[in-house]
Amino acid sequence: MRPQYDLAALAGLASIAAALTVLSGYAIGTEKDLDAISLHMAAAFLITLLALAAMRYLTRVETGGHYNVRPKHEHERSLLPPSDRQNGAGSSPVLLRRLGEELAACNPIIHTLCDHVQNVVQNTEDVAIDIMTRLNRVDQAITELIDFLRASSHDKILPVIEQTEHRLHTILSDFLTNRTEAIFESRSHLGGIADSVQRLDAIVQSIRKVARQTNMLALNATIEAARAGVAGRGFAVVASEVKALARQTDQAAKDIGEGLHALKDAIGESMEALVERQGREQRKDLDTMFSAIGELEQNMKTVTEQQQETLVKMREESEKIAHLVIDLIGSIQFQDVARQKLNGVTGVLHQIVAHSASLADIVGSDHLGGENIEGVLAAVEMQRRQAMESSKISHVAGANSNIIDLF
Amino acid sequence: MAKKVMIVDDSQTMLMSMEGILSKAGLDVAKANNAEEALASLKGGAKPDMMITDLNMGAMNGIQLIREVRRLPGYQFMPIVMLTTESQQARREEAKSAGATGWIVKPVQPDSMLQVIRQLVPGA
Repeated sequence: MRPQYDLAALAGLASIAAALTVLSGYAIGTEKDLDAISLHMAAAFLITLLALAAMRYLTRVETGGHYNVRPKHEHERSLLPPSDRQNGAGSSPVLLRRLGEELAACNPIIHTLCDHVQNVVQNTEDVAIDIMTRLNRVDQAITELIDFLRASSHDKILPVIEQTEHRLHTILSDFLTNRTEAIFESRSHLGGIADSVQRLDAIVQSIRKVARQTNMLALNATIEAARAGVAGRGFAVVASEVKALARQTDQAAKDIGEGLHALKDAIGESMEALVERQGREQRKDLDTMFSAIGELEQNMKTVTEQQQETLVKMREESEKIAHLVIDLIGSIQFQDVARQKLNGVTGVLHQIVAHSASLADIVGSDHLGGENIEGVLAAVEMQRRQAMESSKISHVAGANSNIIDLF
Repeated sequence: MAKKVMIVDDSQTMLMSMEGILSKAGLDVAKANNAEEALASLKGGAKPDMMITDLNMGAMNGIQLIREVRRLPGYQFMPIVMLTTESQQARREEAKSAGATGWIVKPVQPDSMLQVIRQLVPGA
């Protein structure tokens, strides 16, 4: 800054810096926003630059340790204490003292700012841990669901199907056994009837044999009655009647035999009809059963396939959700990144506080001699550079991500 | 047998995040809140197959931790990866000289992290 610069310009800059500081402090208190932090840092740096400019100006125009520069404008006069304003004049030591006071006033604000930042960091960490805890619970629930679905598809459904099929085969086998036994029983009963008929036929033949012999005896009796003449007439009548009875007996036995033959044929036909009918009915029943079983198996297959499809879909979707949860758990790292960036900002702010405190001490000193100013300026400049470098490092660290470097 | 990975970080958020990611992948996880705790754990008999450490934490930083770990018997060749928000080349070179195996800038994608672990730890 050239010597001819008026202190009024410096005072104006100080006013702007102070206003920025106050405004940003208010914004931080209400919004807790990073933009407010940037505003605040800008104000602090502006104050620093202002102080440096003021000191350099003083080193150029120094005239034995006292400076007489009168403010040109009214707003510059407002920076002066009332006593100086009443005198109608300002002096550079007064302005410098006021500048030092402004610098010192910045420090509590910046400390408050740092406290706010640390509170924000702590709050976000608490929330992040809470989110992590909940995400872990979600992940655990999804893992259990996936395990259940995986077990359901193999260990639970298939045994039920196999058990059902086994039960159906047992029922069918029992049905066939019962049916066969029933047919054998019916045939056995009919066979017994046929045997009885056969035995009756033999009896009929015996009766017919007896009838034929009786007829022969009646014929012989008739011949003998004829030989006896008149005395044998009555016996001839008896012999004739016996002959007639023998003929009738033979005819009756013949009729019975024919009836038995007819009955035997009928029983044989009934047996075949019975077996055929039962077989037909059995085939019909079996067809119905096989059809029902086939339909049942098809339904079970369809249900199983649909269930399997549902289970697979649920498992796939659950695995996708599980992967998303892991991604979310990974995203929580942003809180740590933000924490470290904010810690970096806090560190820079602390450097600024130390820096401005040094400046305030220097400009507020009554023994500010020109011989020491260059050394003090060099130290202050070093502090400023360190603060700038820290700020730069913090910024660069946040700007890079997804860097993986294996040595 | 599951491979064990030790995570060293002063952030509870990072520890929980890494534990969630690694345990889900079937890895055993050992956690340490700072470098001193990690060293004590190693000296106490913990035998991790790999270490993932933060850079800036407490009194001893991650690079100093690596130097100390490399001095311990049996840990000359254990993979140690820095997981940090910083990315300056100078710091990376410093970590490499100290014995770091790799440098990862936070935040890292879970899949990428697991890929690095499987690359450095056979059978993980």
